[in-house]
Amino acid sequence: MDDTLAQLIDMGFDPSVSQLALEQTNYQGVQQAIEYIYGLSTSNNLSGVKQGSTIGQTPPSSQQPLQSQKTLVDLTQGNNNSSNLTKTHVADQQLTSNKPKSQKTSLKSSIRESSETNSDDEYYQDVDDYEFDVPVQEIFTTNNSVIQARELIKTALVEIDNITNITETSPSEATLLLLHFQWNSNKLLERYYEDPDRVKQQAGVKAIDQYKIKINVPGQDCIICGDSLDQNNGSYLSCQHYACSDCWDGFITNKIKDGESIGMTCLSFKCTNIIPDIFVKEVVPKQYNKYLERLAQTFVDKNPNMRWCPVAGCGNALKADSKAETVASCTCGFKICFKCNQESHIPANCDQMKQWKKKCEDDSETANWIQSNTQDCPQCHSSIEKNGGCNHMTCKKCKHEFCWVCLGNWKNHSKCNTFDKDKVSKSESKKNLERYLFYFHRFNIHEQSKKFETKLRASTLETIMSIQNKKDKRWIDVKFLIQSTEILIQCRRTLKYTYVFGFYLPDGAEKNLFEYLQNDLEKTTEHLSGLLEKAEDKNIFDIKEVTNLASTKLRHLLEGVEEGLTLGGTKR
Amino acid sequence: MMNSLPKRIIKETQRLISEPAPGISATPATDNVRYFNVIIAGPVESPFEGGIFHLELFLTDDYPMSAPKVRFLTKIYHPNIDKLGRICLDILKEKWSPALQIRTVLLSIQALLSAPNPDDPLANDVAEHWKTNEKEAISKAKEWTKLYANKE
Repeated sequence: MDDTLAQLIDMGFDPSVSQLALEQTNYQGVQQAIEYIYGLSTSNNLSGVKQGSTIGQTPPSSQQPLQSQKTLVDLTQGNNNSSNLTKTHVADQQLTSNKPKSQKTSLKSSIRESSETNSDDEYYQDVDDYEFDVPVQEIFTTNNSVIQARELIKTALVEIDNITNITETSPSEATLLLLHFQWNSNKLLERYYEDPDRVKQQAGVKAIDQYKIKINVPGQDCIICGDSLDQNNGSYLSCQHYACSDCWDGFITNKIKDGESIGMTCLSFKCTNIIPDIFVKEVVPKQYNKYLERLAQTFVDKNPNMRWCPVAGCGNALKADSKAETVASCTCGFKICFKCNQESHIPANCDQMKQWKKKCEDDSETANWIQSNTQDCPQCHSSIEKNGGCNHMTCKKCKHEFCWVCLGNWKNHSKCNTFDKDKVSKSESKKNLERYLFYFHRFNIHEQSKKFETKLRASTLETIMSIQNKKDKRWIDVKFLIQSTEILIQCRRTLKYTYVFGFYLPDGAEKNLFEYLQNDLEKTTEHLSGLLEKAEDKNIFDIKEVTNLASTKLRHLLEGVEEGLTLGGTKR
Repeated sequence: MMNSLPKRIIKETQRLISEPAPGISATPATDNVRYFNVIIAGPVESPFEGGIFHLELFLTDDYPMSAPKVRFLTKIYHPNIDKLGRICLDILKEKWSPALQIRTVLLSIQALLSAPNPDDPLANDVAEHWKTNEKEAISKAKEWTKLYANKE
């Protein structure tokens, strides 16, 4: 046993990892242990062994991987019988033909030697290629954190707990303080240490944690229902507004329903005494969770550095380092503009988006279109769109014959070449409209494409599995497809909004350059989209190349816009 | 029917009938004890003096945890009461407390007639009138009182 362990350590593996690997493989040998380690390290970079350095992957199916490592790798390779077979085969050869050497690289080369006699050399060829391949880079990363919907309450409570400990206040007081400072703990503490009493006063914190629950209050009636409080039924805060537990229950339940949490005050009229959270917990335990949910909501709503993910049903919260942050991304894949809470619309800015939306919502554009593309029949006034060259029109409805140019009766009509002022204004509006439609059309097309490509997210995983199954590719060889899909979506979204940006960009050198970059990105994006839609083992290296190309083009465009496209151009 | 009614509503109803507040009468409807027919007399030295104003008041199932629903049935020219008779009064909304009662609500409405608050308006045009030309607005309110809140 110790021999094999020593060998593994000698090869540069971490002792504890080696020990674990041996145990997990029932001490079957060095090779099994190494395979186990690599299987482990591809799914979870536990061992400190460099990922993707070489050789085979998971242990043969007879061995159980660790519970916690049940990732996609394990799942995919569960089905991957053929590759397991070949690998054990290779392993057997290795054991019999070669003594492991002290370097990982030499081990690798020895394996390659042995596998050259194997029919599977293509597989190792690809593994080698991988080493020289440039990794796919995620560009345009956002540095916000995402708080999952189910973690929200916990996160808020941790924050409260933190302040409670530092300021030595009660949780309710700490919450009030946090609310007052919009959940900005640093600012809170800074001010708090300057003058604790003043800060507390400003935040509306009084001695709020004195209360009595379910006790006998002889001679008092509930101020709400009038019941006597003689039977251990009275509850009250320091303001001594006596009420029975049922009335408190009804009152607090109602308040929670209305969306209130920490700030709710005593049930007596105009009493400003705040109900502490512990009172809520003890009087209406059933509602307490709802109460915490409301509290977590204010944690996001009142915090200028946080936003809800706008995707329906997502419920996650996005937290940025500051409210100056422009883009934040959610784990559901959605990217939002932190300023206007809409989908991230780079390179267009918020004002442009506002204008654009208004323009799109405005029916007048459609009306304009009808106005400039159709004319009314001079007799029955139905709208007619011309679909041929001849200007001798016959209305389909009323059979009236007229001249399209001057709208006069076709019979007896002789001169329609006289200058008409109205015609000029019409052509102007037509031009504007056509310009708008040009941009809107492209804006829309990219939006449509993006919708389809978002669906690729799900199918990409399937593609990865099928490539792995068919062609002995390792997870790390093909997992970049996930990034490719993300980059494609990113390009698509950006392209969509470049048409808003372009619409408001005045003609000139800047626009020419912008359109050049836009065109460039558009072409690459289409290329990538085409490749990804029929992604298979043969074209994965193309995909990788085009992905990197697309991400470069995207960066060029975004940087160009950010820094001003030309000297003296508008810096944004 | 009376038995399923919360004790508090019964108590309040009894007190409203046995010792009514001056200028205010509230009687439960015969077919629905949560529905009250209310009459408020226009307060003296207000543009509504001499008028008899009919209101309806309804206690929801939530009462007293949520405020009663109150509405003027008689037309009235007042900056905080709109065409439909809806009343803009804080205690009927966010300032409601279960410690308040039907009696206190009606007293507050009576006080609102004495002291219109055009800065927190419900009927914008009336409030504007009140702010730009109070004299004229008051005389119009008096006119309406004569016209619509006359006895009955």
